[in-house]
Amino acid sequence: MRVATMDKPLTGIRIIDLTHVWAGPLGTRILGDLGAEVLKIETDTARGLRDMRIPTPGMYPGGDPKDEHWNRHGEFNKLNRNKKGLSINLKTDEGKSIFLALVEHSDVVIENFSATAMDRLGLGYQSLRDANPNIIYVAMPGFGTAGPDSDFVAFGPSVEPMTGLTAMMGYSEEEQHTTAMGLPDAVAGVTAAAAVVTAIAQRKETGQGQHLDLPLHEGTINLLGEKYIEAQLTGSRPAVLANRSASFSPQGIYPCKGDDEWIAISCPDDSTWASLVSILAIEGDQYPTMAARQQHHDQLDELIGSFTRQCDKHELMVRLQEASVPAGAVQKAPDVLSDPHVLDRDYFVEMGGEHIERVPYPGSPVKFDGQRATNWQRAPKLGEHNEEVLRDVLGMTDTEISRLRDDGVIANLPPTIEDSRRRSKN
Amino acid sequence: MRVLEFGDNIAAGYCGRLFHQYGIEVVRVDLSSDIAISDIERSLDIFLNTGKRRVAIDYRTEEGRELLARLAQKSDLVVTDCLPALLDELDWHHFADAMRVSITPFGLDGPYRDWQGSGHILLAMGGYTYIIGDPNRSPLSMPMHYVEYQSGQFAYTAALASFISDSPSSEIEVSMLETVMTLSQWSTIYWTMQQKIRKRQGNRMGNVHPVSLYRCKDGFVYLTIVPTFWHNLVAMIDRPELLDDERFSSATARLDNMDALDDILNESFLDLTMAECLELGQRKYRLPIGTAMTLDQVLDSEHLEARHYWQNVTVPGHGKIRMPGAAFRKTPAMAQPDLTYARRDDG
Repeated sequence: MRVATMDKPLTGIRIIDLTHVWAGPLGTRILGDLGAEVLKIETDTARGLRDMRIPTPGMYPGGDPKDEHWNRHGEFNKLNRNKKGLSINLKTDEGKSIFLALVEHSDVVIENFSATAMDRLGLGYQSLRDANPNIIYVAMPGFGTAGPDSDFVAFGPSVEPMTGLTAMMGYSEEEQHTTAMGLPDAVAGVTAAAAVVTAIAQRKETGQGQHLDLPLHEGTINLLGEKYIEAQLTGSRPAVLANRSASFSPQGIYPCKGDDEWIAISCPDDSTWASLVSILAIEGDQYPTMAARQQHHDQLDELIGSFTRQCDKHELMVRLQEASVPAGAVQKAPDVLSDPHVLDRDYFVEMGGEHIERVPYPGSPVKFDGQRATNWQRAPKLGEHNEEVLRDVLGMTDTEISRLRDDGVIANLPPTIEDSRRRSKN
Repeated sequence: MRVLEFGDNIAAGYCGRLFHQYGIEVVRVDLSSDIAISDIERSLDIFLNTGKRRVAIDYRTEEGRELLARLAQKSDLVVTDCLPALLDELDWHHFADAMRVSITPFGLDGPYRDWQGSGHILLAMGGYTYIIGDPNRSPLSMPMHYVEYQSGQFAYTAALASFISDSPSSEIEVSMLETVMTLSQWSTIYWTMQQKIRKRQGNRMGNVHPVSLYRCKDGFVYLTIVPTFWHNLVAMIDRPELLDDERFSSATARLDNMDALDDILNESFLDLTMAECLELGQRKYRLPIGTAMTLDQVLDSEHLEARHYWQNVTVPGHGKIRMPGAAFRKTPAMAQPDLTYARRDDG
């Protein structure tokens, strides 16, 4: 038997993280949760799409940006736990040198800029390899590093319809719908973590690094794989089914008692249907087969909806599940945070610091040997670990680090708008 | 390294597909009773299981369980998405010397451990469904195996990371409900930070505008116009007067006047085809826009063809089809090897 241990299998792996917005930071967060040392390198002017020099409306604790608004944004803090924060100006020669020196001491570089940005900075794969021949480099541009559309400007929400998902999703064929959340980012983030671990495993065997291409576009097409095959086997595109299923019936989202309260129900087989019928106290004999239930889905939806409308969504969920009927309350955020199962499993993790109040953040879905991950660190403040990393990894002295700060190569604060203008003129 | 995979909840199949894609031998155990399949089921079977070695064992019987356990002893890693009740019957915690990886709807403990949960149910419970769809209409679920596949990716990543580490775990557990919550961008953080419940906003993102879906001549186009792109959007639709319009003079003003702006944009795009939207928007004005492509259009994409994205699969009785290849690949992109699909009863 293997000896049970470790919640941090990537301990000892150092990752340079140049990613921003959602997909990349999610990927590196997963790797940080798994124990990798993630060095998040940022500019001092913007975090993702937010300009750090001016407080913009956003998700701050209590809705209050306070003085350090750039360090208090909820999304940033959610996506960047378990990372060390450096702010290095990669547009300066000295910033580039420091970056390449860090590459020499790292295992992975990951970024989600446009396809040509790293080359334009003079930090393309060849430069990274020159600094460290075994480096693993993961690029996450919207449409890949090559191909006729590789220069397309890409954000998750506008990539999503290009994957075929929107054409299959909606209330009807005429009312196509997006997830309105940029699903390709969430897909690519998890895929990026898989890519990095794969490359580390391969390097362990071959001793060689590699340059991986991981487009947002292809990641989400991948998650629709069977739909593409079905379209070719049948010669027709999958129908827009709203909340129904081509395989199960009935399946839907039904109204419950209260304002905007709903429950999801699914009947994957005849026995589930029989259980549902007995709870709903409806006449189910005329729909004995899946085919009959598919054919009369409208009618069934009305019957089910007229029952669920009188029920509390959580009480009904428990009742249906206890009868082995797949059912789930459509939970709003406070429902999720107070869900008895979620609380029992200790899923959410509270984090905070002097500059940001302690609140619960989503944890990890993975347990190692039955244990939750331990010793998580809140997201870093801008440039919080500049000194620590430059000293411990590169052996720089306090005097050298101080000069870098004076020269604007590293930073702990965003510049004022005036400073930025002056800098761009110079 | 050999991976043994069994179960019927799709997530383990996707996890196994990833192991196979990266060159690891995967043995898939199917239930012997489960042979007849529809086109939909066959599509899923082709996607998840092509290239794996396959055996059919009814592990719900005592004899089947013994066979399964023997196969597990010959493997380095065992992945399953069976429900916890069946794992109890298999004595999961002592099932094999191999690393054991379970992917279950609610995890291996907690009050809901034995509940039933497909993607449709888990998206609802995890907070995704409530925020997708139109205001004043029912929420919308997603027409794909998002939860199953993302959980499979988590299982693959955690298992491989642990396997190659100096101190591998004996057992790894992935909860599919927790996968959904882990991947929420908007719902819980919106509440914990501001005590506001994020609501359904149609196709709008809601915190910046115009970020939404618009009708065009032959379909739909999605715009993600964060403030830096506003001027180029105005140039693209040839409406320079909008730059002087007070209603749209700042990011906040555009948010405050979303309906009026959408009326203008809906009218503007009706004259353009999806192809023209891309040509003008992406190539000329460098805007982050996308069009709602059908599966056929994606299959015919010159870009994906040039990138050798699709992988050919020969399906007996049907011929050659294309399926998505690996989601991440070495550069430069090379053609991926052709595969032949073997039905589960041919294994």
